[in-house]
Amino acid sequence: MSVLKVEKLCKKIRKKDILKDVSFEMNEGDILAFIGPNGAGKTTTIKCILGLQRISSGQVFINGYDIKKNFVHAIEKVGALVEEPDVYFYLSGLENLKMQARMYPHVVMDDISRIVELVGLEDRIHDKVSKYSLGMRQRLGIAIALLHSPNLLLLDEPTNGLDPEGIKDLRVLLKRLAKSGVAILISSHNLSELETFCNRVLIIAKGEILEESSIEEIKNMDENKYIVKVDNSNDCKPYLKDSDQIIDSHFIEVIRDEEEIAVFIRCLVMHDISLYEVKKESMSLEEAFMKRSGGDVDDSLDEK
Amino acid sequence: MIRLMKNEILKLVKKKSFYIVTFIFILFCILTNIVYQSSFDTVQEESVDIEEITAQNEELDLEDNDDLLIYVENLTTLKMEELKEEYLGSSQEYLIEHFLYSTIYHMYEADYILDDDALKEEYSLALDEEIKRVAQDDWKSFALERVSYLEERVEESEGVEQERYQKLLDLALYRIENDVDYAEDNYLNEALLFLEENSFEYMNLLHDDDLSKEEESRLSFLEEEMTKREYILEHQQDILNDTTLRAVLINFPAEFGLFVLIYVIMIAGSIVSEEYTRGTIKYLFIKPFKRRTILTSKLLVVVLMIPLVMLFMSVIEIVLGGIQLGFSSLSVPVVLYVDGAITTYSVFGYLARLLLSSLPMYLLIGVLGFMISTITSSTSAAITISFLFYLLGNVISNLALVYDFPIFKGFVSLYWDFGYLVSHQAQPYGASIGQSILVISIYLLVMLCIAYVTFEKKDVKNI
Repeated sequence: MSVLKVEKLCKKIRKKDILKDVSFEMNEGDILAFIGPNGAGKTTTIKCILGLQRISSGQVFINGYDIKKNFVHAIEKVGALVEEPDVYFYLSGLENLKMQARMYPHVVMDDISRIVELVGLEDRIHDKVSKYSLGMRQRLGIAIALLHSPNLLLLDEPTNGLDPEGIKDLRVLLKRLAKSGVAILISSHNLSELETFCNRVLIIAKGEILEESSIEEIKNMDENKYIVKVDNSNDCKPYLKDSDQIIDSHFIEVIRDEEEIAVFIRCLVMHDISLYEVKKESMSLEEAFMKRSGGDVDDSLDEK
Repeated sequence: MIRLMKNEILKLVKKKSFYIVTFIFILFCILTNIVYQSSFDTVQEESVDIEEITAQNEELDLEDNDDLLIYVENLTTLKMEELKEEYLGSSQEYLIEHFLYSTIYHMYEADYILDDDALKEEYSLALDEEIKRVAQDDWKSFALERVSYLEERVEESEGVEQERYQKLLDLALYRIENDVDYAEDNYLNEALLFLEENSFEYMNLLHDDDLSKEEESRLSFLEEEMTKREYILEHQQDILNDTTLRAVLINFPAEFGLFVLIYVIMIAGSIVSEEYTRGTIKYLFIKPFKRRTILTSKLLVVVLMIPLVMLFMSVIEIVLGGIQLGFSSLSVPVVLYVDGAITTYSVFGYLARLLLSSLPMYLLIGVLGFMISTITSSTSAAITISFLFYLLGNVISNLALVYDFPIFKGFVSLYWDFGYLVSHQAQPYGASIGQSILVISIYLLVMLCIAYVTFEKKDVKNI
């Protein structure tokens, strides 16, 4: 049984379609990168899954329970961090955690201290949250999401405000959780942040799912791109294909497979062109993906 | 549910605004206690204009009999003032005022009207002797004289007059038996004087069959005031003292009602909306509870907090008031005069009844704030509208006393105050308890329905 199953989820606000037929599924141990530009419907999707917003049509099943009909059971094993980690600023981190823990029947003090350690907040946990930085609040938010050992984690832009160290810690933590069977959905407008550790990618734009694929699939689309340094780019012109590009007077970009690049190098050498460097450029997940879905990276993903 | 409620209470009491209001309340208590402590009787004694009397005397024609009488009276007044000058503010002043007048008058009468030197000398000696007794503050001798004088009067008179003298004699005997001096701050003395001064008028009104409207109300006023004084003498309890902690507590709703309102509106108006404005509602909504369970827990906390806030405020005031004004007055009961009879409550019993009788009003305003807080997610809207509703309610209640528009009958503020039950009066608008409860219940039900329906359906908007 899948941990999360979203079926033809639609959300309309004042006759405007916010989400159109969003469907996907998550299994134990999945780390799903949920990618889309701002306003694409990422947060709305997450809120609909959590029952925070009403679903216009379609269904959401969590651990087999319908979120509409059986909310209490469906939500029981879900941990979430939505938008900002909004907690009670006038309470300390620990008081906030205790307050959240009190709303689950089986969370005990030991769980709280274990999780505080896990997110690295043990030094400041007794401070008022109003004195926390955004990154620390983000850690607290993650701690809250993990309190009751959920088997589905929904994290909405969890890396916001985290320093590189924090992002690294988070990756390690999430990988570990996934290994123990937790299904994790992470939304972001920046795929490069997630590509190293997610196993599946879901792209959403304007309320519609553009693409759903495993990371290997996308990686396989990766073509061979080489950057070649020569003394004068223009001399190479006759030997280039249409898809190749002259970057500037010393660098050119060519796309060849392994056989072809050897032929290309020999060709340059034979025509007395001085060759300083040939470097293989691997395409990022993001570029590869955009290439496949036919969009332009700048337009659709980096609106921010 | 209990866990949710515990959370809600924790959130409330850890909030800054709670501490700020409590701090202001404490200051307010201290100031109120000071005001009570320093509130002396503001009854101004008629001051005598010595210069005017002297001037008048110089213009009088001593040959004329009427003028001569005034002249003697004026002389007496001047002499009294001269003697009183020495004892201003002490109990001796009172002795002069009440016991020396006749001796002084007789002395001047002998001198100017009767022209009898021997008699004048006699009275003059008597006055000297009396002044000596005043100097020693020997109030008992005056009181004993009064007793024997009244005893004679009782013997001599009959019928209504005898009844009157008997009453005064009883009071005089009470004074001697219980050793009540004439000190101004002696509450027994105050009660005795009141009864002595007013019993004559009271008797007259009582035996008059043909009373005007004003006389009737005067009679019932005297009846009430005298009954209370008689209670004081009988039980020797200072029930009219308004400089004590007991007096502050009796007036609790008037003095501190506004603070109850502030607490209630502050709690009810923010308990839902603040979760929305802080964004913390998301965390509440993704916990394994139905939305209506969450709202119910909040509602129960609001309802529970109203009596708790009253209790909390009372405890603060009792402690502060006790420190400032002393705790001893708390043992004196609250005495109410209802339909010709006395009803007594203990101070705490009375306070509890007063607060209980105002609960429906606070509950209604609290639920209104709660509903608006839920619908609009705006704390300021909830607080403002609740306050305005309270003010509007008071205005309409007052208007309804004067104008009998049927539209007022549907307004809940006519029914929400049950204070009349404590003071054993009639409901000001003629509604029965059942009717009042019905109107209040309908209002509550409608407001709660609106709150629950909106809360169930409300989306958590994206930021």
